[in-house]
Amino acid sequence: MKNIIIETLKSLDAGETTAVEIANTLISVEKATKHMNAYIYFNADKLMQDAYNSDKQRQEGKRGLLSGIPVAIKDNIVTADMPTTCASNMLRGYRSPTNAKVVDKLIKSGALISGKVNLDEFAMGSTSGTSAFGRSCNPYNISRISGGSSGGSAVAVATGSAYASLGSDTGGSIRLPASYCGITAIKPTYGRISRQGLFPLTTSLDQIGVFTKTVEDNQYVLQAVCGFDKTDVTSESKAAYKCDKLDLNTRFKVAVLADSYDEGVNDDVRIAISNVCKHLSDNGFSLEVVTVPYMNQISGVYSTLCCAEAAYNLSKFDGKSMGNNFPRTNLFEGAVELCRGEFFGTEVKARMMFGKYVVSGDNFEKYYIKACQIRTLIIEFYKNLFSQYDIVINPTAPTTAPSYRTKLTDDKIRLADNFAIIANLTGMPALTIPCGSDADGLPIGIQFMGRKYCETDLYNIANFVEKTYSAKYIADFNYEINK
Amino acid sequence: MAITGKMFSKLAKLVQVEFDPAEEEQVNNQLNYRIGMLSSLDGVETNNIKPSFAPFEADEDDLDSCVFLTNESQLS
Repeated sequence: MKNIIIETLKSLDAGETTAVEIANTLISVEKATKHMNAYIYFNADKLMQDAYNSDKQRQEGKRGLLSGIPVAIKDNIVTADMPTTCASNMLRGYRSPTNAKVVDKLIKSGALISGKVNLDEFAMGSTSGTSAFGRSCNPYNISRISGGSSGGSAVAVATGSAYASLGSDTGGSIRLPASYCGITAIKPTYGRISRQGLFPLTTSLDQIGVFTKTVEDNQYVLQAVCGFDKTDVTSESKAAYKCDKLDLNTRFKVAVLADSYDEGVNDDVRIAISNVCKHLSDNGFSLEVVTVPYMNQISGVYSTLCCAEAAYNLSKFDGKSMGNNFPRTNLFEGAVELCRGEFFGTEVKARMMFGKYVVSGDNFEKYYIKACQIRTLIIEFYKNLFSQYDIVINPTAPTTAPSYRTKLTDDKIRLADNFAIIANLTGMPALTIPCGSDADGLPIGIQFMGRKYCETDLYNIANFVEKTYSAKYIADFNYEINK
Repeated sequence: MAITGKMFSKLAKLVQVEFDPAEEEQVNNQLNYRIGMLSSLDGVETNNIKPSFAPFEADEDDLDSCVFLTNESQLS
């Protein structure tokens, strides 16, 4: 599997291809994969015009880090010249007056914004099935979920209708769909990428991240989107990322979470993770299985914090100040309730109500503050763990992609993001790559977590696994192109 | 503690949403399923543990800008 982004940039520099050719192919792939519903908004004419301008600039000697590379944007990140819906009827038709900071960075680096990709409504979900625009489908088997909430971001990259994409990750929303769709994705350290222009779900957990097919491409794109932003209070002065050359000879001390072998983890997933661990051990990495506390509390803590903050963040949508204006909102009492009742989906309503429940009356101390205290214990535990180990390994998800008919309360969905949530609660970076497939040919992902601001460690170990073991598992679809 | 009809109505009012009856049952199921998760928090000893509101060392001004939650009124 080649690094499509790095190789394409070389081809563009050598004059062997053009941005217009790339855009043409992309448009054909998007057409051939439309039934997978990766995109909410795709404008072929605009893409061709941007590609034409990109070629012209290259001829004039102007070249950015990503000149001519098509990148898709999750539709909860605002764009000035494309609508932003958060996959919700509440925002249908909304257009932001400005770009998000991260989109500005992409445009400045020369990337072609291919469109806005599908997600669970307001990023609430792990299936992409709560989108008001219909679910996005897993390219390996369209009856399986793509994962969520950044399902469209994963499907676009896996199928080739984007070379890279941006997603947001509150509790695994980047890593889970990447794992289900057989590609690479990173949730960087909290504070690495500006979230200015990201519709917040859970302010203390949200982080924007990057999807690509391969590890080196991922690292290359990350450097283009990181950096300090004074308009985001969570952005840190050390946020910039330098794309250090990856080294196949770097060895790490690795902790493997004992829960990776728990009975809740599917047999095929357990075997795939064991095989990677054996490969690492055979090649000089030091591995130890460690038992970690609080795994049983992860869902409760996450659900409490996520929903409490989400209820606040979504309180501003009233049906008149932005998006899908309800025609008579100002005319009668109760119009806001009617509007929010009509335009928000069921999952969003349930989460907002739960969020209010955990901060109301005695519940505030009993549940919300308690969840924040357990978060402290989790942060302290992992701070200590990372004084002994460089990397933590676990399955990205305990199963491969479930059927889209699986209920949201089923354990396969409910526990799917337990391994991923740790990195959100602690702010640590986490990267997933494909490392195997199950009996049905569905991809299995392995997650590497590292110390804050040590993304290069993750890229080094993931690059080693990809190059020496798992490259054959990367999504590689070749859709018939009908130009 | 399962959500009662009165508490459900109060929560719906707090988040300013209306439901049709079919959706109300779905939301109620989701809500009670999440409330069931809360029992897992009971077994953890947290006396004298400072709560973390964000995954970084923030000063109070930062927290004002990123964490907004305050105690709401009683539900019943």
